[in-house]
Amino acid sequence: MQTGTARSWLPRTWRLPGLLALALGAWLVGPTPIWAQGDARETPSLLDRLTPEVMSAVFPGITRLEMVKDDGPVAAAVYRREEKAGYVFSTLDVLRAPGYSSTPFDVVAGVTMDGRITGAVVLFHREPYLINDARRTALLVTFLQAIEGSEARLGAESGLPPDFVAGATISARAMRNAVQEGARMVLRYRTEEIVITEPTIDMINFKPMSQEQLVADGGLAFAHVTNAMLAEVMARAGVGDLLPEVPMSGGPDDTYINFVTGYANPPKVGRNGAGLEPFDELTNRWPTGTQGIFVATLGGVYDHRGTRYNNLSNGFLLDRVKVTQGQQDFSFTKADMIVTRGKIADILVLPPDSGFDPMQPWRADLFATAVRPDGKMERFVLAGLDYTLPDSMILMPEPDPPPVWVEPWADSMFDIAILATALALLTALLAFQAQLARQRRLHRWLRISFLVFTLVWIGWIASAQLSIVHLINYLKAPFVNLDLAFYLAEPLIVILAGYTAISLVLLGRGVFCGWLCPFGALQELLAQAARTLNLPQWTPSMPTQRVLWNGKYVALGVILLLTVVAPDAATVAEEVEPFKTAITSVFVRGLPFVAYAVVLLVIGLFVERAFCRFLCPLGAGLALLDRLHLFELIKRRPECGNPCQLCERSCPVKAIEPSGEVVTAECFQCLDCMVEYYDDRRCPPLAKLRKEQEQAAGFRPDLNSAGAYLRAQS
Amino acid sequence: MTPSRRRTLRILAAGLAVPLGVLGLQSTQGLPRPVRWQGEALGAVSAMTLWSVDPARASRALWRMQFEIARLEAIFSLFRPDSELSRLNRDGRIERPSRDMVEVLDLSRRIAEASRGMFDPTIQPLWALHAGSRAPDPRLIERVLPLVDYTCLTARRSGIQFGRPNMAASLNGIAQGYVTDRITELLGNEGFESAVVELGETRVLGQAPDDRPYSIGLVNPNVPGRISGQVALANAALSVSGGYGQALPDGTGNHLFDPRSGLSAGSLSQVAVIAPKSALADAMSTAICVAGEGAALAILSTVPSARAILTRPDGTSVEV
Ligand code: SF4
Ligand code: SF4
Repeated sequence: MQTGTARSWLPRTWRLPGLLALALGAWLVGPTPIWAQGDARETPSLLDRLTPEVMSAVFPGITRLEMVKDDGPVAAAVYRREEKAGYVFSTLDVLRAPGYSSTPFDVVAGVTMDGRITGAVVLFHREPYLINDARRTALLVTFLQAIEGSEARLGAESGLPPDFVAGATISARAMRNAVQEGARMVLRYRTEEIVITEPTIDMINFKPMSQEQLVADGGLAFAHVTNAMLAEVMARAGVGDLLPEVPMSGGPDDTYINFVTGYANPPKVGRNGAGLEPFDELTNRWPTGTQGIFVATLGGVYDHRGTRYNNLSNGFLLDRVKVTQGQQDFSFTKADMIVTRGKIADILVLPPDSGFDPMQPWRADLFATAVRPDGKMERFVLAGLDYTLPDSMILMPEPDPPPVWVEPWADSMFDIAILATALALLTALLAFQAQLARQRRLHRWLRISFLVFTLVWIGWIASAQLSIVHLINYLKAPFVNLDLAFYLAEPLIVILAGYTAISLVLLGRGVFCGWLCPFGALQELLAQAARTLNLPQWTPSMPTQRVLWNGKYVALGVILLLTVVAPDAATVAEEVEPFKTAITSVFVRGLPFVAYAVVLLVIGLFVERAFCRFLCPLGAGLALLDRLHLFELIKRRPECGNPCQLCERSCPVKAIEPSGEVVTAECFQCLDCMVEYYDDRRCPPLAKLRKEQEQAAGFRPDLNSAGAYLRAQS
Repeated sequence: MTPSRRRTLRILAAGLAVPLGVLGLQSTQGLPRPVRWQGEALGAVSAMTLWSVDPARASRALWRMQFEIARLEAIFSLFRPDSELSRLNRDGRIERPSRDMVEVLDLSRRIAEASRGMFDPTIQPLWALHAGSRAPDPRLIERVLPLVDYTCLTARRSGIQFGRPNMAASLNGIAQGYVTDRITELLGNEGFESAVVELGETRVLGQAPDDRPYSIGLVNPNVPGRISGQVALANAALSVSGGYGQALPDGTGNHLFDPRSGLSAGSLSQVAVIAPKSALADAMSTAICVAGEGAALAILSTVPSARAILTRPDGTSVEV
């Protein structure tokens, strides 16, 4: 394709004033095209638009051009020395859309008979309001260059992935699609469209190929037999001391025979191998469904025909070649041979009902004969050629496009793997929480690391903060008929939401809030720092806290209500959640938002997870659903709460009632209380047991006595 | 220093450390970068540009928006024989329409009422008449005119129905506007702050990343390819109607019809309406284009904060 960045503005008098005439390439910089002059009311005919300059860019090397006179999509047939080479069409003619808007551009393109785009030229193009054209024009040129050589027929490269964003021109994708769709329409009408629904042998495509190319391609199987090899074969056949019927000549390395065979029906094999006439006989003069096996001797003293096939006494049997497929043998007589004159090459035909399946592998055996001193003939296999039709001769049906949401999943494979690993680790932590809780240092260390991961990777790097917006979207999903794919296309969120839903049912809200919420992690990490710095902490009394807990349910209620009655206001109300600010946009947001988030975080320094406990609507939603959970993660002893208050005091978010009962809806499953629970130096019942045991044994402390306690209990 | 003073100081220091830390984090992020998608939606050359500090997330979001665009196309496309709109036009009725369809028809009705029929969703029969290759026979126009009457269109969740046979709806720009609105709102919902959505209509979300409104050029209706002015747009939609936008195949004028005469309207050469939503902006700009300068104020008053820039054929323009 000829390209250039020069542009010319078409005259004002053009009948579509306001269409921004964008002409690419040198051909329009010269004389103004005929069709742009005057105020002709008719769309200039295609032929008028196909100036030599346009043609040389769109379909180089053609000699003649003539409009196709049928009812199909408007197109001009182009000829290269009287052979029809393809069509030239304009997207404006072919795809003109009657309705919303006339096609905002006209691209003239050429397509060959087998569906290749030969080139494309933009004749005019209307840009929308955002102005930015110098860059876009340059990009458009490169973009259209990429159309060249793409396939229209099989849709091999139709369009770009919709994700193609960075910087192409505004219409480029639409243009490219229009060119390909147009080419398809133009061809479909004129060539018999073959709809391939299952793998089909390619009986259409032909290109001249030499025997060597065919062998390399797999279209022909090739055997090279030297004199030495003949001797070896004969020895193995037990006739090593006899003489071959056709004597060798030359030394051991000289060729005895070069033999090829292949499935003859694809023109690439049959027409190239046997030549035009025999191939024509196979396809046109034999009944439809006749299969052909191409065999040829390319050199050597031996050949695959011999002479006996001419003898009536021999039943005209071609005794040197046999084809085998599975259990079935196929032999040929003189009547089955389409002989190529001037070459030792034949097509051996198999009738339509022969049971031969060209898609399956088969084998051709080449026989030779040894002569016993008494004149008796011994037949042996000189060469066996295994043949499988190569993929290049099989047209595959257009693969079903994978569901659209697959792409984002494939794209974020790496992220998905990281997240899956983290979730697996978390699952393990929860499953082995008793063992973990017994190791105070390890628990501390693992917990902080996991929170840092949650905050930095899940939150800031992968932007996978689950938020009330997701919860509402999922709740709304049945009513707003958004495409399912719309949700599926956000893999990390889908995985996190799934994990959270399962953990919610099994264990409660704490798995998400305590481990997977980046904003929760941020608060908790800050609170840890605050405790290290010994900042004063405010702890509301249980009754006050119970009142405050309701704050989040109010927030959730308001948002849900607004979602139904005033969706616009709901978006504002959702801002109660600082996730967008603090996590997804990493504080790059308007001052009010940032200030709000900072205030929440500062409060969090003095009141552990204040936002989570008293305000977070997502937390509230999870806490509500949490009522269903099946298992209690946090273990209790009879002494918990009465008289012991150790766990209660250790809980950073005060989710343990004075009675010792855990309020699961408020528990973040941080396992801090479980560390106390398993500590046989701090948990009073456990400590007591340990002492008793020590006294009984008169023994030094058993560091692992928690296990002993459990055993004693059960 | 007394212990309590030291304590107070520590509290203050900790309180200050948080905003400082936040500032530090912010500065590592750099400026939001644009991510752009181009394609075709409802027959219009379309684009979405999204600014985000996390381009990967932005392009994922844009990718997801296409599911929504595709879904809405399946409802509003006039080209697809199986779209809801095509079925409505073919059968004259449709059972259990989508919520989107009802919403768009409701909106059309609101503007149709406000403009006393100058904007009319049932204009399609006239359109079809002009889509032929020759200028239509005036008698044909006479016959078709009674079919253009939005009051005969009932749209409920249970069903949509035309009151007379052969009526048809063309939701043209308003459907594009609706799609533009949906996408803009979804993007806002995803937490994006700044975006320009051009899906047949233009709507911007938030402000440009430098905290100024976006500046959108207006095509000069009299000098093709030139910009006649710029409109500052923040959190609003812009719709431009004008005869120049599309020429009819039959050459008799433009795509805006006067439902009274059935002929192309032409008293203003361009109307640019700025309104909170694209669907509204489009309907109003069409209505004003047809009804003329005099009716502009009345039409605009149906939507608070809507304004318009009108360009007369002589090139002068006024803002209302
Ligand atoms: S309560 Fe809200 S902010 Fe806190 S961890 Fe749970 S979801 Fe996150
Ligand atoms: S310390 Fe509190 S929040 Fe943590 S697991 Fe125990 S009850 Fe739950």
